[in-house]
Amino acid sequence: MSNQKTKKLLLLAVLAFLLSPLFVFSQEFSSTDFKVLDPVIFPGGFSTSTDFQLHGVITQIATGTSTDSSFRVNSGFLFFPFINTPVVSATAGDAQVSLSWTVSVGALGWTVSNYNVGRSTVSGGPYTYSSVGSTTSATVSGLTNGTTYFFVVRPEDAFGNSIATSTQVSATPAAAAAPPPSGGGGGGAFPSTATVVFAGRAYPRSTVTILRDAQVVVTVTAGSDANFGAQISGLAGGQYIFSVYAEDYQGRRSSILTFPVIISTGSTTNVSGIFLAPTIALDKLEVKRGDTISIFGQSTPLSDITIVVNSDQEFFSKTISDPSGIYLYSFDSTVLELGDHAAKSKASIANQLVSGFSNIVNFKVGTKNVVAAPVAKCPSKGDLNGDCKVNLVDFSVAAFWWKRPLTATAQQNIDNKLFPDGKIDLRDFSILAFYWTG
Amino acid sequence: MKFPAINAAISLTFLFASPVMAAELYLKADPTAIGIGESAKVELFLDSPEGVNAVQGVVAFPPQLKIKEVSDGNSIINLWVERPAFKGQEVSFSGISPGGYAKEHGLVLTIFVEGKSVGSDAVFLKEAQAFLNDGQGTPASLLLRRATIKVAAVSTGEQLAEEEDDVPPSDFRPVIASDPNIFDGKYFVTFATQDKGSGIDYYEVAEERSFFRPRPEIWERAESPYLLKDQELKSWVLVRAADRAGNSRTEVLRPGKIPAYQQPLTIILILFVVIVLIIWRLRKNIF
Repeated sequence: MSNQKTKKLLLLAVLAFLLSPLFVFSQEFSSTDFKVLDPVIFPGGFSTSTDFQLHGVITQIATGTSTDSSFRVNSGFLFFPFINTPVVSATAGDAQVSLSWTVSVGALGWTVSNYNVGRSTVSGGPYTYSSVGSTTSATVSGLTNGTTYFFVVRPEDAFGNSIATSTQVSATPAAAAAPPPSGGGGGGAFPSTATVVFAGRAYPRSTVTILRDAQVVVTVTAGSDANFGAQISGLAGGQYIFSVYAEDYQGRRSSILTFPVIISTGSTTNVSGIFLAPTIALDKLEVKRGDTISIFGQSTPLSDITIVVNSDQEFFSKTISDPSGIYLYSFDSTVLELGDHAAKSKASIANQLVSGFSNIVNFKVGTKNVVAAPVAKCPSKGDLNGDCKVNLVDFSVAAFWWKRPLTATAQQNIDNKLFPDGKIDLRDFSILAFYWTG
Repeated sequence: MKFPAINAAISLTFLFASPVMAAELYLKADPTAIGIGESAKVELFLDSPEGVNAVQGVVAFPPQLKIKEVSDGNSIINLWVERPAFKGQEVSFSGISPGGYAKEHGLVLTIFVEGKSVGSDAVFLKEAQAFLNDGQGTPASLLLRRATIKVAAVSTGEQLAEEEDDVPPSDFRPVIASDPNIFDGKYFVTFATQDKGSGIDYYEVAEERSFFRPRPEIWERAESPYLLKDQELKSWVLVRAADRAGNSRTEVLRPGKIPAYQQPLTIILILFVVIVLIIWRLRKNIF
């Protein structure tokens, strides 16, 4: 082999090593006596147990196949990849509508590369789609004032496949109001404030709290179908950070869903597609390996709940919430190693709307069963004054110690409830911000 | 093409490469060229594909620019641990956005500057930190982007557009609390709000004991948390937030510990009963 050829090959090898992409394999899934490894890539032969063997590649042939008395494989990749659907806000303007939406976060193979905005004058479509790139806002212009338009946002993967569709949001463009006549009295008032209308899903008859710029502004009760709506008026034009969370039937709080909304003075902004993640709890703090641990919580009625147990290897399980939105899954701990583990869940409705992930609950797989305490209604961190809230008072208590040396008492009562490193810095405030309840 | 295999390898690599999920703090100047004595603004933005809930840093300016004012107007930061302020050629800031900010073009703060001497140099960020909204205090990988403003000896003709602000800061709810960990357990008032226009300039607090809502003449500049002077909580507490355009909003807290017989409603009820008794007595005497 010539010296030049060797150099070329060496260069190719080095480049291939440095630039080689990080492949993400599809998630393994398993049961107590069976395991399927990387089903996207590998043929049969890897998938065996003492009483079961799977031949060939798992593909989308038919659902509900490959079963025996102790094992069942549903073909296709039922639990992955996934992506949460965006929360969309629409603000009507003069012959235009400004749209803004939250980032869709994909996992296990799905990454959003582009968004399409669909528009229609008929509720439910069909929609005419326009690509807007990898951005989370767009202005649709050239619209007819007085006509109600309906919009959806669809994230796409790198190959241009549509991987989710938001809930529809509507807006009716209108001509800009004329300024009030100078010097004259009476007449209609020039709308100097804006209104935001929220619509979404929580849990049946749950208490839903809405925060504006980190402070509670309204609390509403969801209906028996888990739907809720709220309206906030009297706002000045500008950028607002709205957050929503709910408490389930046992007082457990959901994770907080936050979305920025830019509001124009004198306009009404509709925000739709708010889908709160399920609440989650465990029946045991420690489970004896081989026993089951119950993972439960509440979501919307009859929604598909995906439970993820995070370990060195992730395990995906699926169940359906009952008509009251309550779900319960008995997870067999046999597949888990001894040690610390965590679980979280998310909900989807008819494979259309997908929530974000719930809070994370931790448990241990050990040699004995330790029953979990009754429902923990207080935030596990950040509640510095013990009132079961994380709000401005806790922020003030932590801010008091910003750049000050901590006393032993302050370290115990404050730092240990945040990031216990002997000082109060921005990392502590980040934890406080995560557990914020307002 | 000399190395088709290498080209193919590179193409495939970029086609399938995993996206880098990093937050970005970037500075944007407007206008980018000014004359001596002319104004420009430098805005600090956050792009955050993952949710970031805490951010801090220092914006450093070259000697050609003089910092005139710092504004938190329309900021995505809801609570400032350290409100943006300048000292010499640097602006430091530290704040949080509860629930996290996961979007692009999030305005953090705006700095107004003036051309001082001829030159062109970068405005840059240092000591910047951001944390993910994951409850663990995980540092976010951060990209920093600088901006450049050129100062010329003569006017460039580019003018900074003036922005009117006639809207007061957002309404807010001050809270009176006590905690054994601060102020030796004494009562304090805590408050925070935002201004969507020119930004919050300052807060003031007034305490006054009176039967009706007072109109205090003496206000004290305050930062939250503010240690209350009236630890018996018998005073009205008024908190005023003023923006940089001179608009202000005042929130009022009623006295926390007034005996029931001194409460206005109780007194009105007593007066009503007395009047009814007098009328009843008069009617009885007449008929």
